[in-house]
Amino acid sequence: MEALPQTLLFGILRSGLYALSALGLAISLGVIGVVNFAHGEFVMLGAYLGFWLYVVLSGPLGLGPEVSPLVIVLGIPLSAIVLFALGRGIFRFTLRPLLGRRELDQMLLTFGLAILVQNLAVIVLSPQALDANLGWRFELLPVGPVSVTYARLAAFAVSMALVVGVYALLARSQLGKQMRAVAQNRLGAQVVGINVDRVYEIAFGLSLALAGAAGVMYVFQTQVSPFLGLATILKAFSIVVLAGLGNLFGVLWASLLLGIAEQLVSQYVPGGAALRDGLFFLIIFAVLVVRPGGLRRAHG
Amino acid sequence: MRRITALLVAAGLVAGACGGGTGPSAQATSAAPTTAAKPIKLGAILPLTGPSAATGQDMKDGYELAREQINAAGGVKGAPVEVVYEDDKNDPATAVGSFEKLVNSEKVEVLMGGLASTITAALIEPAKKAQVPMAWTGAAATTVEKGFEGQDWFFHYHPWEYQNAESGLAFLKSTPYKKFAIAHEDGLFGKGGADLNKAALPQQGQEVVATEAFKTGSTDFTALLNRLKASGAEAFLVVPFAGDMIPMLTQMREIGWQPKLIYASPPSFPPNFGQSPVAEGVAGLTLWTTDIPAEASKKFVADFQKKYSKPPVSYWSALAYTNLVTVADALKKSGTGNKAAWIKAMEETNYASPIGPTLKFAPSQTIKHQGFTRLVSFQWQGGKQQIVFPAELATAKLK
Repeated sequence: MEALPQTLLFGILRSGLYALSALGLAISLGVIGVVNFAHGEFVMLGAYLGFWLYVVLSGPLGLGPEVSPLVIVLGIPLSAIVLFALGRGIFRFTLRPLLGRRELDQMLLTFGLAILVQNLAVIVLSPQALDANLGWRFELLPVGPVSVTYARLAAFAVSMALVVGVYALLARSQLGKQMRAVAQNRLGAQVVGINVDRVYEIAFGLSLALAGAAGVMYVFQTQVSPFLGLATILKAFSIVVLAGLGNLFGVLWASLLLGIAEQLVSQYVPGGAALRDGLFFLIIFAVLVVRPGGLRRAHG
Repeated sequence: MRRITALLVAAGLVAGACGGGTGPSAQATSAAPTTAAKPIKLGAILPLTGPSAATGQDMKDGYELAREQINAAGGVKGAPVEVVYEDDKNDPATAVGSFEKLVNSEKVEVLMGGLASTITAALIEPAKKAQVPMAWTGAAATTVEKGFEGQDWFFHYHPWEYQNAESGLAFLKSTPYKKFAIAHEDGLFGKGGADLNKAALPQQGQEVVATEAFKTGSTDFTALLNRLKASGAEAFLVVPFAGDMIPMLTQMREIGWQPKLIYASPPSFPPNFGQSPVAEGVAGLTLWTTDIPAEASKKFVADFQKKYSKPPVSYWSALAYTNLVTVADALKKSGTGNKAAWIKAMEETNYASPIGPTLKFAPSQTIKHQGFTRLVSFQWQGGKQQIVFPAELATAKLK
């Protein structure tokens, strides 16, 4: 059991990026009611933007591998802005015309979008996976008995800051209140004079902006490739289901629970490291059977 | 909402099962220089999209370099060489379609290419039916070798898996380490490699004290590494895919595990792996590195760099280059449309290849025409792959 504190630490640190990746998905589901299968592909696009910035900063601008903080400070706003605009465009021209139709149509649209974006990335960006030699991927900070890379700490801190920021936006701002109103009752919101289409469009933009931000943090975690999206979306789906579909505030807890559970299974179940992805599906099935509302309180 | 849930889960499962999705059909026919003679058509089956696309592209770069040089030097008896590329998408069914197209519509003189064993296995029966000459680069599985038993039109370049394993085990035997921990990705590739070592190491007096499987792309291996660390192993054998390398090595540092030897055998290392601070000291097995001290290799690397402004990604470009050069050399002797003469000319191959050893075809355990039979062990030292085994090819000592 001496490995327990370390197992918990790594589990908690991992949950940050999970929450950031899942929150955007939860917003498009919770506010607009659209299951966005292409969410992972937008994380992938964000990762390419982050990687591109890393290449520009470390190469032509000659800053070397010391650019880690700059990639975060510049890359996240850049990626968020680009993806926000892309999200609004995608919503306006593809999703909005389908909103009145069956849910299946919207799902098929986002599913097709996912395949399109991934294949475009293969054609335009090449299928070659890329590793960023960012200093923070390798520099270690001692934390108790173990050492933790700056990348791991930064991913957690940045993700948490963004997640909490979005929660504050939803709770306090005029726009956030409008989003929640639209989510609760579309017709009611329209009646009190909220421009529902505009709120939807902004919500979808915000959803993609969060995916883009998460993508930049993935540059510090793993290889950037056109196939990055699939790995992230499966976990994001599990978290959204566990949180209760569309329950935005449950995402944080669900991520924490999954991050830690995954780490515990890897550490203590024989052969657990190969089972961890299965764990996510197991949790989806268990939640749907036992408690379809997810973490949300029974009356929610 | 419940209906959404059901659809969501169903579609999520489908997405998971489908894997990477389908790539576009990329097929390119290289233009031959305009000469009076009718071009000689050769076919190459490669994965140009899908998970092995980077390696497939590397092979194509090797072929194109060879084709350019052959045609610049007058082609085959004055006729330019043309290569028709078919994308197998790393999918057996697609590969069979590609094969039929190259043989029946394109009517190619010789079939080249090949990377994955599963793809080649699917081509065994169509190939036996068509009896078209094959000069095949890839596939290492012994099941494939058995499939081509007795077929004298089949020439195979890459070593078979038992030859790979023998090369790796010979290196491990030469090290002073007795206790090994193994981690492998949980697919056929990783499990196959791990099982082989698990069975063979004890036979040469080396013990496997722990084995762990992992999902490739997990990005977090700390728990698994913790357990391997606790096993007290001196050396660490890992059979991963390229993307697992840097996260795993970084996380070994996070948990403070420093085995005396790290021996990794991914299908290829990540690009620019040598520049990564975690690369130092990692050892591995390869057919070829850009630093092999052979004249033909130095020339190949220089020519490749000049044409593409980048170094070769893997040994597959050098293997593909060797493939086309030797096929064309044999055609120069045999002329076109004469299979028996071509086979005889291929049997006489004696080519100082970029791979290092002089290429000659000789019988293997099962097939008549096997090219390369040995891989070399290297270690990343100062950002370069230094060959550390066998001694006669070594460019540095194991650290």
